[in-house]
Amino acid sequence: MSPSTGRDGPGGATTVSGGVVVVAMGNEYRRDDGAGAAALDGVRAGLGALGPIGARVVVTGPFTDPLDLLGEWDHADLAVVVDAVRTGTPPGTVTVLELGDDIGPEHVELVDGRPVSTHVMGVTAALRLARAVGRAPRRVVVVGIEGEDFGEGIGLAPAVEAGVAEAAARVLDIVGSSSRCA
Amino acid sequence: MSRLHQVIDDPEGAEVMVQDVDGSRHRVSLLAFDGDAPSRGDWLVVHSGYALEQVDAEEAARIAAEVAQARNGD
Repeated sequence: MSPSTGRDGPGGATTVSGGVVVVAMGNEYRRDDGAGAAALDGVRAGLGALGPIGARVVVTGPFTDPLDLLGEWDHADLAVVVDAVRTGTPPGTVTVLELGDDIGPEHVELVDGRPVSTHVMGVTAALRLARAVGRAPRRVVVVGIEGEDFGEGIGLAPAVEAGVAEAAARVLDIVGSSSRCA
Repeated sequence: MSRLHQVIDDPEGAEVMVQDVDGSRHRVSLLAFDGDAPSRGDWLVVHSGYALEQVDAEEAARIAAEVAQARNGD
């Protein structure tokens, strides 16, 4: 299926039916919470090397409210959500989590035995809502960057900055793999 | 932007009053709403001031609580 992008609905949200969307979540004015947004630069820079699939990827965000995902990822084949998380791992650690069918809060409380941050809970809630109204993406993968300081201010901790580069590379891997599987 | 709102009053014409999980209240349009007019207590997905879809009340209430927690947490 070839993806189509366009303006849809009364609010004019950009949709990517059948395509791939990379969405950053987080608030750039809450320090490490801006890690997802920072990763988008690396994603954009690397898309060209992916060939034709790279040119069709929609990169958007950052958004601060999980429900902003609705309208951005509707009916996509693949949505990759990049976000700062707090799971208890060292700052900058990158965690990749594919959201399956069981995404109630009771299912996502732990990842590898560690508690999942409220950020991921927001994404799973948005996905359940999207499924309830028939607008969900076919696949959703969360690429989380462990943050440390979510206080007011701008700029990332050095360790988190290093994680941002790794997260961008993981996003590009996931996007590239999806095209090979299609 | 999309939001999940609960109907708090009877519809008036093509509009209805709704409340966000943070307590803020809005009047939204039903012009793009597909289906029977919603009733008090129903949950709607609202996009840029237009109600688009109704969501099962039990699931909507759980989702709204999780979204509120995500908004307030790290």
